[in-house]
Amino acid sequence: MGYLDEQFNQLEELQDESSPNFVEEVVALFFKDSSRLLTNIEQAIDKYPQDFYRLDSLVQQLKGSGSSIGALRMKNECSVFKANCNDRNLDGCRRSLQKMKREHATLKQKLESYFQLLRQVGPRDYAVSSRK
Amino acid sequence: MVGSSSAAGGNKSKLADEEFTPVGMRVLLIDESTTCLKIITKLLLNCGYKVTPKTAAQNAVEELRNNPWSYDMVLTELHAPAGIDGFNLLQYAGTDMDLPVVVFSADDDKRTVLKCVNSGACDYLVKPLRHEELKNIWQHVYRRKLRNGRRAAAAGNSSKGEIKKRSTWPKELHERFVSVVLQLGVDTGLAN
Repeated sequence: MGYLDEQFNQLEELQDESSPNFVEEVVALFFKDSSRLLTNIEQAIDKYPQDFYRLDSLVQQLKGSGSSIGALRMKNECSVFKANCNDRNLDGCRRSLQKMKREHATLKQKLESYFQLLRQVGPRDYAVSSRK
Repeated sequence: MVGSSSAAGGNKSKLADEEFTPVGMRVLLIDESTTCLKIITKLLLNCGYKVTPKTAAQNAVEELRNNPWSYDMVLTELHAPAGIDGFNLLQYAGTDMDLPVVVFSADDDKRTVLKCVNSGACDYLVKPLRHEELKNIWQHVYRRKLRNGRRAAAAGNSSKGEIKKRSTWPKELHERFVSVVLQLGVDTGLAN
C-alpha cells in the first residue's frame, strides 16, 4: 500500500503563485498537529482508568487531519484504532498506537526526502506544475 | 438581492436568479485542526468565497453574536473534543440565527449523518473536502434567500433584501456565553 493517496495530489493542485509553498506548509502543520496528538493519545492510554471515549476522540482528530493530507496508511490505521476503542480493547489500542507511531515517523522521513528532492530538481513551479 | 413591490412571486425568483452570485459569499469556517483549516480555507478562497477561519466553535459563537449579519453561512467540523462542538453550533447558528450550516467530518457513520440532518444541518460532507463539493455549497444560501423572499411575499411585505429572522439568544446560551467570557477575561474573550 502506498503512503499517500490522491488527496496529496489535490494539495499539490492547490499550490499556486499566491501560495507557492502551500504543500510544504500544510505538511509541516500536519506533523506539528499529529505529534501533539500522538503524545496525547499515549498519555490517554497510560492513564488509569482508561477513557476510551476521549481516546476515540483523539484518534478521530488524527484521522481527520491525516485524511486531509492524503496519509493513507495512517488513515487506515486510525480506523483500526477506533474499532479497538469501540471494543474497549486496551491491548489492541496499544498495538495501534505503536503502528501509528511507526507510520508517522516513516511518512515524515519520506516527505522530508521528497521536499529535498523537489528543491534539488529546480524551481518549484517546474517540478510541481507539469500537470497544469 | 433587489425586490420589487409590485412584482408577482414568479418575477421575484427571476430577479433572484439574475442578482445572486456565489462570489464573495461570506463563510465562517470552524475546524480544530490547523492543518484542515489551512486546506479548507484555500479551497474556499479558490471558489471565490470570503473566509473567516476559526479553530474553536466557542470563538465562532462569540463571533456570530458580535457580528450577526457578517456571514452568509457556517461551515463547521462536527467534532470538537474540547468545548462546544458542531451540534451546539448547529443549534445556535442554524436554529436561533437561521443561518445555513454545513457540517463535515472524517466520520462517515450513517448514524452521525442522520443526527446532523435531524439537528438542522443543510448538508454533511465527508473529509477530505474537495473543490467539487465546496463549489456548490452556495446553493444553501441561495435556497434560504429564496425561501425568505417567498415568505415575505406571502406575508404581503415588500422585500428589500433578504429577511433573516435574527432572534436574541436564549437565556441559557447567554448565561453560558457570559461564563465563558468571565473565564477568559473580557479583553481576551472578544479578540478576533
